Amino acid sequence: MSNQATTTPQIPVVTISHIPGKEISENLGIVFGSSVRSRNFLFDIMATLKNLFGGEVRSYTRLLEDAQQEATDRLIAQSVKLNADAIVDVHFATSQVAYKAAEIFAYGTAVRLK
Amino acid sequence: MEEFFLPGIALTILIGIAYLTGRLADAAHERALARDETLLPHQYLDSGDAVPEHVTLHDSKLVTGKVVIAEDRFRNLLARLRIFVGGRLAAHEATVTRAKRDAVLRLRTNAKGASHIIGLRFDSSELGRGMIEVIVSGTALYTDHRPTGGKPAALPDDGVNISHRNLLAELVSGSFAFLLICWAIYAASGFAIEWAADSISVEDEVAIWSELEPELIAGHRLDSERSIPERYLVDLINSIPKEAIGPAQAYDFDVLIIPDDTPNAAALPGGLILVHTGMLELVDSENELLSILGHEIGHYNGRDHLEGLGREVVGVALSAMMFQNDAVLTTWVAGWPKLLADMDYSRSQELDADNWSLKILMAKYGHVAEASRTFEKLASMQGGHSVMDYLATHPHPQDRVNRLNKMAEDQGLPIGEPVDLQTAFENYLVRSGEIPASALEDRHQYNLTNTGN
Repeated sequence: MSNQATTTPQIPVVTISHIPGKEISENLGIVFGSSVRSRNFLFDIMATLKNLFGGEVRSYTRLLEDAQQEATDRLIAQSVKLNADAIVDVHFATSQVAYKAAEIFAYGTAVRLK
Repeated sequence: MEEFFLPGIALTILIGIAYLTGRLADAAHERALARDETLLPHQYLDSGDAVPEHVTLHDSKLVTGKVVIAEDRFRNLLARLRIFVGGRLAAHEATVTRAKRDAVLRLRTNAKGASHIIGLRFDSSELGRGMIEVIVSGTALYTDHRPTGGKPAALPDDGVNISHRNLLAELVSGSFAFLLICWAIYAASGFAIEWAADSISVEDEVAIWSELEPELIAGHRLDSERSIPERYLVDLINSIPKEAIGPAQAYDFDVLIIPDDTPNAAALPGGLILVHTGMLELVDSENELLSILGHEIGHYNGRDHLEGLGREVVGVALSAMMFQNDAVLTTWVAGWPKLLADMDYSRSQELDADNWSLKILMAKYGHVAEASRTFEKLASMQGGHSVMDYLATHPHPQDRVNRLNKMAEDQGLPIGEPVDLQTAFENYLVRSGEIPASALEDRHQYNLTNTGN
């Protein structure tokens, strides 16, 4: 995951419909980034125990952070393929694809700036 | 052994079929998507809510695209292994990405004639095991603008969102890691069980077991009365000099004969020894019979019956935790590390019990004739050594024969005349007053397996 992050050029990724101070010249269409990940059995057991006592399940928060990072990296990688300068209107969706595995799905609109 | 390998072979075949059909279904879906995507005219897809400027809007409507895709069993197994080890689920990535492509395709088909689809929102969830549902919604704008350009708007690109890994290689590495982890957990729990089994006193064990025992016996005994052969076997055990029995003398032994043709015997908690009729048919002398019973008594001395039970419970609990309700996989996949961990342990248990058997024979008869006779018979039934022996929890009978014979030789134990089983049983019948001595005229009227009731 981190490999991809370092090789991917960083472009602006925003959840609003414009890049402040810049003007959009071209709409390149929708782009996706998704990641399906799991922690290992030790974290799963710890999470089960946490479920008894309550509180933040840190191991799964970390899972979501990792997955979100990877989904964003993939979103950027796909936009770069289209020669995009920025991604606007980015949304995230999450689901449980399989028991104890999480999918984070990022989508947005790739745009070219003036 | 067969009960372990047959489901394994069946499962391998099923998963192999699932792998092939899964690959075919994937390829077909992929081709269909690629074809249909090129057929659609160019459209602007936008996750933003802004209506584009410089166009005349004729109409707008809500459009959706929904798809539910099922994963094949092979990918499902792969994902399960991967979840256990942690990391990226390459097997799932391909499926979720295709599901989204299809959902977008359906959305665009529903929005035929629209130049823009804005405000796109995705949602996905797991419908059932291995079934992924994706829904995409948006607002289709019908305008005077006709998008141009040869290529349709950007589509989900498999090259970015899917980790390209060889799924079979993934299966091998995932399975290996999984087996290693299970084995480690299981072997570690073995020590805890050993400690627990040693700290339960015989009195406590008998007290706990007495709650369950009547239920088990009720199915086999009328009025919970021991049958005559059972009485004979208990009498035989009680005739062993107490000091030779070791710690197990604290038990009040009971024997239950089970009508089953496989030659087998087992030590259950609370001092209940199960003997199959197949075993009684196999033995020819009282010495041989006592070598079997002595072996089972040896298991009580090692507390093996409790440890075996404990290991069983841990095995089931672990696999239930890892696989939830996947019954076939639970029993089979988790069975492997359990088997590996049990193998060494169980073999040494068997050999220890053999030692007790020899000691008990010596104490009762003053010699060790027929100590290895049953194993000789089992060895000739089982045939020579085979690959399967490496996975067996019991040592090969022939090895046990050689070992017992060598032990008797090394310790200089005498070998005397064995007592014929039929004679011994008849003597018991007369001695205990079951039948008058005169009734023995017709010699084969009474034998152990066809009871004289």
